[in-house]
Amino acid sequence: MTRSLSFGWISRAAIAMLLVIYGVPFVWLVATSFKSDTEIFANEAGLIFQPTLDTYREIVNAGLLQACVNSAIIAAGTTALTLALATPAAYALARVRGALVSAGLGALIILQITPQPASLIPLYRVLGGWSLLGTQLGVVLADTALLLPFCVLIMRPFFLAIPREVEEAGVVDGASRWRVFWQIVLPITLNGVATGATIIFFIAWGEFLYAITFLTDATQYPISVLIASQIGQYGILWSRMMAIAVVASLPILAIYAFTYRLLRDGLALGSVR
Amino acid sequence: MSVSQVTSDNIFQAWPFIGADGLRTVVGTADFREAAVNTVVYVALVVGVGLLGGLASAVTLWRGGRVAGFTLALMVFGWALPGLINGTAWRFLLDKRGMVDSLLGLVHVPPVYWLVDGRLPLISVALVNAWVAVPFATLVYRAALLDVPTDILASADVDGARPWQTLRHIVLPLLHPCTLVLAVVSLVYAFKSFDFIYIMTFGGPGTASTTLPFLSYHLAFEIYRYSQGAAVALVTLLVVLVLAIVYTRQVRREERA
Repeated sequence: MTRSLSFGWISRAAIAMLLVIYGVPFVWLVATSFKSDTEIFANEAGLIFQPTLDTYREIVNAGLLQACVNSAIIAAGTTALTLALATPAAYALARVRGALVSAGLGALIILQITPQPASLIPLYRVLGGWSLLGTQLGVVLADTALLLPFCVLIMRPFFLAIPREVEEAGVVDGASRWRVFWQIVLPITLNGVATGATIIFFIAWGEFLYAITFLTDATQYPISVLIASQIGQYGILWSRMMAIAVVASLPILAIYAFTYRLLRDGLALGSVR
Repeated sequence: MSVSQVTSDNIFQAWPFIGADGLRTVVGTADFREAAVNTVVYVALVVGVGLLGGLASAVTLWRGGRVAGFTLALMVFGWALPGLINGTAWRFLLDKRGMVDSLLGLVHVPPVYWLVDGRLPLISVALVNAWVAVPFATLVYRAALLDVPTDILASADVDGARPWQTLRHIVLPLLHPCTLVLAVVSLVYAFKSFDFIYIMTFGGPGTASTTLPFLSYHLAFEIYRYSQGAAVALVTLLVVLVLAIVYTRQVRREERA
């Protein structure tokens, strides 16, 4: 049974090339984090060396764990708040029709197009007005504002895919709109919600521009700011940078292991329709 | 804000209105023109490499199997990592004495110095951005390929079509609508890209890799000309919006035809 096209050795060569292009950088990244600075200085790209945990000890002593906790607070807070707002919004935009909905979708797309730096100044003013500058809550609100349109646009197709009859059956049985949403619609669209949640968490975990701008106290910095604040300096300590990057990637890898299938199948749906 | 006079002195107060003059001044500067050209180069590379690479990868991985499955998972992991981490990693790999130039040295290619001077840093950053865009395009194309009816492929096979011919004349036309939508999504994504430039070159050397979103950031947060920064952001936004609308219309027209 022909289910795809076969290109023989060309396919195999292409897969090998993809494995190199996407695999080798990760190997190097992890390897470098186990190198000492003297060895990096002697041969930055070498792969034969005496592995050491010194760098990891050093960054843990320099407050890395606190930064991880901060990142977790900001990313989890953003994810929860974004989902709480985006799920009903996506459902409504999938169910209601009319000019207002089209305008709403258009507005979401415009917000989605806006480059992040463009919203820095207005947000600075708004958060300043609410006395939330320098707080993690402020960063959570800013991240939510950034990601909400994206999340709605990703989840809407999942709600669109539910046949109306399913809901009507619930209504006929006397359930309220709210109960239909909670007990019928949400369980069916759990994949969509989980896809949205995963992506939002990843982006919020790596967001650094708002955090570096709105936070003032170094003890509140998430791990992304630790990376971003070192990058502008001369003489970057690469072993340190790579070790922090590896630690920052671990939670993402852990979540990714569970949600890969959802992302693989859900992303195409959410972005194209 | 782009139509007001905002400085660090009055950012928390009322903003004096100066109308569209601010916009006109900013658009006329050499910095803006350079950033506009850089943005076009950057977007073209990210979209072009992203779509072509995604299509090629999706066709390659189409057959499935363990190795292909693992490769796809690895690629999508690259996509899932924040730009901050990818940008940092690639900055290290493309460093003067980094992995890429060292590997090239093994086959006696002189070092390229990817992030050092001229136009190359802009291109390097765009390629790294494309490295992330490819897995996404692969996923979208993969979904479309899995929707290709198997009997079409089977009958092409029976009729004696070679795989390349089937790909060229049957599969690619079926992917056309998918390509159009993906192009809009990638275009918007590339246009507003900021993280990679911030991390890998900070717009430099000089202003050689400054794109419009970065220029907006530079104006507002490095030299504190908030209004000018906002004006650049607004212009960027308008351009993307117009592009998106024109494109969407074109897509609709083609769909109806």
